[in-house]
Amino acid sequence: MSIAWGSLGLVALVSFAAAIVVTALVSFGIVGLAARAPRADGPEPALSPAVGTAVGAICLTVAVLIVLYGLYLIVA
Amino acid sequence: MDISLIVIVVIVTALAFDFTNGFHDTANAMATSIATGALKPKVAVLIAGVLNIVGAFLSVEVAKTISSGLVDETKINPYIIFAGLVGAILWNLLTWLLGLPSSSSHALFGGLIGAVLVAAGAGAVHFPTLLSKIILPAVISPVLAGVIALVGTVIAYRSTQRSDDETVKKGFKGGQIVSASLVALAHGTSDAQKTMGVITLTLIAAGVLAPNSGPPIWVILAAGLAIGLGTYLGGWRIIRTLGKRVSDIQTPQGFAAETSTTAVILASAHLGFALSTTQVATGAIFGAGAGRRIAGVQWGVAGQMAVAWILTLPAAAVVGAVAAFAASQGVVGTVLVGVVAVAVAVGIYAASRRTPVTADNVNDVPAPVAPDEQREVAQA
Repeated sequence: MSIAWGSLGLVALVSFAAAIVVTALVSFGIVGLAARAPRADGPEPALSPAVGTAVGAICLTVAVLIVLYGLYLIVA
Repeated sequence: MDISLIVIVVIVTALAFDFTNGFHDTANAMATSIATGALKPKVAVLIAGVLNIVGAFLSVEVAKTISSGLVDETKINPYIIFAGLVGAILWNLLTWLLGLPSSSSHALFGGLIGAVLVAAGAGAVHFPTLLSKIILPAVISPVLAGVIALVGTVIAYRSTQRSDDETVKKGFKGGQIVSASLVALAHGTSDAQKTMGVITLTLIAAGVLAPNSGPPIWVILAAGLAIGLGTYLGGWRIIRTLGKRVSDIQTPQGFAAETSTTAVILASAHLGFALSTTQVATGAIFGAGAGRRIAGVQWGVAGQMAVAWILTLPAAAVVGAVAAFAASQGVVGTVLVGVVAVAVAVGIYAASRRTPVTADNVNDVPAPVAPDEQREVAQA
């Protein structure tokens, strides 16, 4: 009986890395976007509006690229 | 030879199985999106249904084997396929009535194994393959997806806890819709393919199609529509279980769970260790629940699901075995199996009408309350 431990480990590693990276990118992107337009009664933003916009744009763009790669994997 | 009758019966039964498959698995993609309100229930199932149909047309690689090597493929004939499908359909309907997510593929394999056992003996079943392709992945997939979703949930909450609430909610809602859509699309490409494979291989065996030919366009269309329609009608009972009864799921958790599900399914499909969508999605939802508050997760529900998962294969196998025995007795037996199967299906549907779960009331259950919250409520 052969259990493909190698490919199983690879699946675990790749899916862990991909999911965590996407989750972190979207989270950081949202933190960035939230800093763009702080409300008077809202919490103190962690970043300045300009930095927030840049962080948000970069993180979300990379996340979108990863999603597009996922789409490519499904279609191809 | 009643080849034409049994071939027609197999095609109809395969499409019925495809329908229950879509119906059963809507929850995998959409349960958390519906529970968090990221999508309205009817919009969610419409998106999932359309993406399932699109997925069916996108897939170029149709399953080459019916059982993925679980049984001796040379022993499979249309009667065995019919019996296996009946076992799978009835198990899918029963677990739907109970609102329990269970793997449609495991039900199909179970039905086929039972049918082959009766028709060709234990020697035709490859038990080592059963361990490596069914039992081991069933243990690993929910744990893997759960751990990933747990870590993802912690990251999502920790990183955004000092940011504006509205923006955070809106952001994760958007992310959740995208990741849920990917799950639905991936489901269409993999699961509609199975039905196409079953029908195509039956047509080849009957001499209607040349060996090694691909599915005719009407098979792709029928399989895609059957799974899409099933998905659209939505197994609301299972959606309620996964979205509301496991834990009180919020938007960041829904996003983390769906992202984990998508990543595990795509990685496993492309690295050669196929895992069950249902088990991955279920594990991810439990992990996301635990990532916010371990005490907020209803572990008793997990126990019920574990029992259903363990029973799926043997239960479908028993039905498949009985059906195979009856169907092999000739036309009368085959018709009898069909009539009994339809009668049981109608009975299960009738039972479901007593406590209907629909798009309108799917979220109308009190969210599970953690023990320490219960104390606070009691003291208040």
